[in-house]
Amino acid sequence: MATLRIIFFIAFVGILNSAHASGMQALLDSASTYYSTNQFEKAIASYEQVIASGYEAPELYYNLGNAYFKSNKIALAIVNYERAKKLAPNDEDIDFNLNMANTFIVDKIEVMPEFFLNSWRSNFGKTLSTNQWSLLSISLFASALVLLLVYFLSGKAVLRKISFWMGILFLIISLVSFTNARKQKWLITHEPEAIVITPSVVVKSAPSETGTELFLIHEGLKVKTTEKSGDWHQIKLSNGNKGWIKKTDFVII
Amino acid sequence: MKNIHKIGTIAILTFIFLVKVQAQNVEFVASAPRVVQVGEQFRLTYSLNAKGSDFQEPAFENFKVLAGPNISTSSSVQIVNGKMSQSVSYTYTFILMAVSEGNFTIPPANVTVNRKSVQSNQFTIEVVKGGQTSQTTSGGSSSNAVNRPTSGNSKVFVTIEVDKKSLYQGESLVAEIKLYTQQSLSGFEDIKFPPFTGFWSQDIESPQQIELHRENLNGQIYDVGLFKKVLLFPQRSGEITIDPFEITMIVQERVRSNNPFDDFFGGSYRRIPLKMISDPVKIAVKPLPVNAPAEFSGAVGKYSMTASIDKTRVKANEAITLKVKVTGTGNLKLIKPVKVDFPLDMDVYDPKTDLNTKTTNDGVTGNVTFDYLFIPRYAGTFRIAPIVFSYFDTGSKTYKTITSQEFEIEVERGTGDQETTPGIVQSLTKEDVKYIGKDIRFLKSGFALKKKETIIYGTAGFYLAYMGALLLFLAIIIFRRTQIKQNANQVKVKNRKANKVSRRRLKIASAYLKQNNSEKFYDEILKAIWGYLSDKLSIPVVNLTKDNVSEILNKHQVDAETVGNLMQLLDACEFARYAPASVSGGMDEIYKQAEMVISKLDQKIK
Repeated sequence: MATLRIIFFIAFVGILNSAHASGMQALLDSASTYYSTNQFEKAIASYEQVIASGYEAPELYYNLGNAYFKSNKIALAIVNYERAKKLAPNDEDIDFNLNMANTFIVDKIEVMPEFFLNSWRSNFGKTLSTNQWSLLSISLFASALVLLLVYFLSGKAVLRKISFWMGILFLIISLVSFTNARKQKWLITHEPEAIVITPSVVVKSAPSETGTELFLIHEGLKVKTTEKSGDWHQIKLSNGNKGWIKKTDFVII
Repeated sequence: MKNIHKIGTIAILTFIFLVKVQAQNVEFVASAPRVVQVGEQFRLTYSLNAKGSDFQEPAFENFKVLAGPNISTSSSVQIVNGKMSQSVSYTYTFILMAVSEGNFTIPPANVTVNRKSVQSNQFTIEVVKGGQTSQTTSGGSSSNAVNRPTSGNSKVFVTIEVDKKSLYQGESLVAEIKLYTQQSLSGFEDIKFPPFTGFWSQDIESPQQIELHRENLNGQIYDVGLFKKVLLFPQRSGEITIDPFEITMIVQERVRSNNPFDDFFGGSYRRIPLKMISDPVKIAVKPLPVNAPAEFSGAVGKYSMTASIDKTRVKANEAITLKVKVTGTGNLKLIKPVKVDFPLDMDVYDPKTDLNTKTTNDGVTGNVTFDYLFIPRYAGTFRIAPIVFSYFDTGSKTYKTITSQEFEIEVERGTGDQETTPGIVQSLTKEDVKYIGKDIRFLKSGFALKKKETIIYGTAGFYLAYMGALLLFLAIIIFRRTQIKQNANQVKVKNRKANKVSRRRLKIASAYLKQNNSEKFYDEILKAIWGYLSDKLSIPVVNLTKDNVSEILNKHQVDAETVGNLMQLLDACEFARYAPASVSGGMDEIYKQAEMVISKLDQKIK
């Protein structure tokens, strides 16, 4: 009886969920209609509502980015393209539109040259999201254990040999995935990337209005935020320059 | 005296002008001052550039004929490069005097040339009140000497006259730079025309020789000369000032002298330079209304437009000309070529602009033609969208748009491209895809929404997954290990216990021996032996037969004698169970043998 009740409960929750999701689908449909008829502001409002309801998808951010792009809000378009890229790092359309939007950015910042192994390493880390790395690590760990079990319990010599080495390999890959997940999480929590949304911002040397003005950046620029002091955040440009700007001047990806 | 002098100048000027006229056309022109004063004597001249006869003078009402007609003739013969040309001129002169005020028309005079009657033009003379004016004129010259330094006065001044002071940007206005004088002038120098900054200017008339004619200005008669007549197009909106016109006039003034001989010889004259500056003129230029159509490119005036195309059926690579002709009046010269939307695959050359215009008081009149040469490169049917020309109509003060018809061009595949252009193989040229515009890619559709994910890494669940997997792994390993160990122990125990069990069985058997219960005795002996073998060899009793037992024992390196003894014993026991009496040695013997075999096996099997 109890199990039956649980099954009913799950089914009910499922129906509720799908009803909610179908409402979201209607919103998405209306948003794309607005987009097609050049009512970008309304399309933006619909997409934002879906996101505010706690849903996400790379395509959702991509579409919102498009709507922002079309209504000439390039910085916000870039924010959403970057968010989409985080969820789907290898999508060609997202890359294309992001590049297109980036051509509108005023600032041209030389990327500090990095040792090629480091850049390979960090690019490799970005091919999957932190959760994907985590899940990969866990599943590989479990597989490695299964293989080791085979090694310990099997009687056949060949099988034991293969499963032993495979198990070791899986363990190593699992460890690599684990460190990648760790690194990605660290980047998200400690050095989140952000996009400048104020048309022109003066970067200060200290977290106050009286700080020395260091340099000027413009909207759409991608920065890393590192430290925080009240309303002020320290940012780091890709050329290594650091300075402080206000929280209202950027949006974290 | 002065007037006569003036008239003389006019007559000479007129004469110079008339000489220019070709003798072929018979011209019979009347000329006289336009404005005269009552009581003034003036000259009316009829000029004829042919041999005339039978001159019929008109009726001079309101004028008194003092003298005339005096006929003077002149003829000249020119031989240029052996070509002879002859010109004759006849002049009939009257000296008239105006009697009363008003506008009077002198009717045409008639003359017969080559037995044909020729009529002169009509002529209107304005007669103004005078009498004392002539005195003031002569008296004014002396008073003028006092105000000499001023730049211009009531006797002599220069002006810039405009026909409009307020107009739209792109509309035109006529500005005339004029000289007004009541004094005799002997010349001028240092002419500085205004630069007309802010305007696009076009000269209508700028005579080589300043011709003076009389005009009535507020009841005063002035001799008026035109320096320049310009058509101006303001180029921006707002107030634009036409800078002053500057000139230095040389005024002739008679010097009175006490010497009566001087008077007799015509007197002596003084030449006084007089610098004159006109007033600047302010023009208010209104901007064009804001609701301009998209096609508007600055044309202002009154226009019509036609578009034509020289062919509509061509072969590929043949040139076609599209002609757009704008006709009308306004700022024609400032019209930019009309935009034509040609299909993308055509080679279009820059339009050729042809201006055919004439400058008039209303603006530039005429037409402008834009020739668009284009070459279709591919076969097909192409459409050229209607050409739209938009202008600001100065009449109705609104924008007007003219739309031409649409053109359809049928392009056939060019035959023999290869033959006509031997060097180039047209059909093999590859083209890049033409990128017409750049845009982002379109929306994605048909995707599944997910609840926003939280980061798994670092959560308790994340680590628990590893721990769980590891614990499960260890549990399985440990479980398996203990199981194996247990199994191994069981065997050992059995092995160890085998002797004991068999001894217990043998003891039971010895009890049966004492009771002399042979059946049970043998049974127990067999059980003891089989049980012992089973425990010792870890093989279940069921699987043991006499045959495999000997084999297994051989494997355990039990010597053949012991095995033989065992077999004998087993045979004996089984036999004895069914026929107890027949067994040799009796139950004691069997018992001893069993004890011995078991102890021997126990030594041999480890």
